[in-house]
Amino acid sequence: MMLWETFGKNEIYVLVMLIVAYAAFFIFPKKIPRDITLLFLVWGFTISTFFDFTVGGGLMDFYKVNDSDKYELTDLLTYFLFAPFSYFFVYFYHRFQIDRKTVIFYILGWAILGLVMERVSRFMEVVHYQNGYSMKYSVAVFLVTQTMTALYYQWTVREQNRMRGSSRL
Amino acid sequence: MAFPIFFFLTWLVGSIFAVMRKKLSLVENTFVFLIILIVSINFSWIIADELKLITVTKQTLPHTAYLINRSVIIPVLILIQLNISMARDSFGWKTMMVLFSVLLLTGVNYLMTALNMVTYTNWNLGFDAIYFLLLNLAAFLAYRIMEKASEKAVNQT
Repeated sequence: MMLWETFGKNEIYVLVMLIVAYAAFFIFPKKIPRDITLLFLVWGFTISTFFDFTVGGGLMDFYKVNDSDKYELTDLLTYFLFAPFSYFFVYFYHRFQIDRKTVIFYILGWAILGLVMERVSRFMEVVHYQNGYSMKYSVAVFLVTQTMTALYYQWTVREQNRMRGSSRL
Repeated sequence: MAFPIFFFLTWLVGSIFAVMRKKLSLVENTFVFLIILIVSINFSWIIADELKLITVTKQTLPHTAYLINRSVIIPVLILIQLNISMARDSFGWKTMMVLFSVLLLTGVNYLMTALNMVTYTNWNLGFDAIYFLLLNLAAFLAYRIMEKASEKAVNQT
C-alpha cells in the first residue's frame, strides 16, 4: 500500500472533484432523511469498491485505477468520490418526482453523465483500460447499477413510509 | 468441487436470511451489509494481494467461489447473526451468537483451505477468528450508527 506512485494530474483531478462534489453535498438543501442519505452515500462507495476489486482487479483486471494495480490512498479517495454521486442520483430522483413515465429517461441521462465522467477520468489518467476492456462495456455497468439504485431507493421509500406511516418522502 | 459447494452455501445463507424474522429494518440491514462488504473486500484484497499473507487460486471457478464467499457469504452470515442477536436484550445471548458466528465463518475459511481455494502462507485460522470477531463487532457499530441516524430522521418529522 502507498499514498501514490507519482503525484500527477490524476491526484489533482480526484482532489478537485472531491472538493466540488462534497461542497455540493453540503450546500444543497437537505430533502432526503438522514438515514437514507447515509445509506446512499455508503451505497455509492460500495458499488465503486465492489467493481474495482472484482472486475478491475483479481483475475479479470479489466482496468487500473490511478497509477498502479497496487492499493493507493488515491484509490480510496476515488471511491469516496462515488458516494455523493450516488446521493445526488436519489436526491434528484426525489426532487424531480421521477415516476414510471420518466424513470427510463432519468436513468439514461445519468448513464450518459457517467460515460462522460468516465471519459474525463480516462483523460485525467484516473482510469486505464486493459485486457480488452472498452467504454462500451461500461454502458452495461451504468445501466445495471443505476437501475438497481433507482429500484432500491423506491423500495426503501415504500418501506420507510410503511413503517413511519407518513408520506413525507 | 469448490464452486458447487460455495454456490450451495451462498444459496443457503441467502435463503435463511430471506425467510428469517428480521429485527432490523430494510435500511438498517442494507447499511450493515454494505459496511461489512466494504471491510470484507478491502481486507481480503490487502491480505492476499498487498501483503501476500495468503495465496488465492488462479483457477476461474474456485476463484469465483472465493469471491462469492468474500462478497455474499461473509456479510450475509454476519447479518443473520445480528438479526438473531437483536431478538433478545441479553448480553450473554449476543455474546453467544457472535461466538457462534465466528465459529461458522472460521469454519467456512477452513473449507476454503481444504478445497485449495486459498493457501495460507503467513496466516492461520486463529487470525481469521480474530478478524471475524472484529467484523461482527463492526456490524454492531454500523447498526448503532444507522439506528441513531434513523432516530434523528424520525425526530425531523
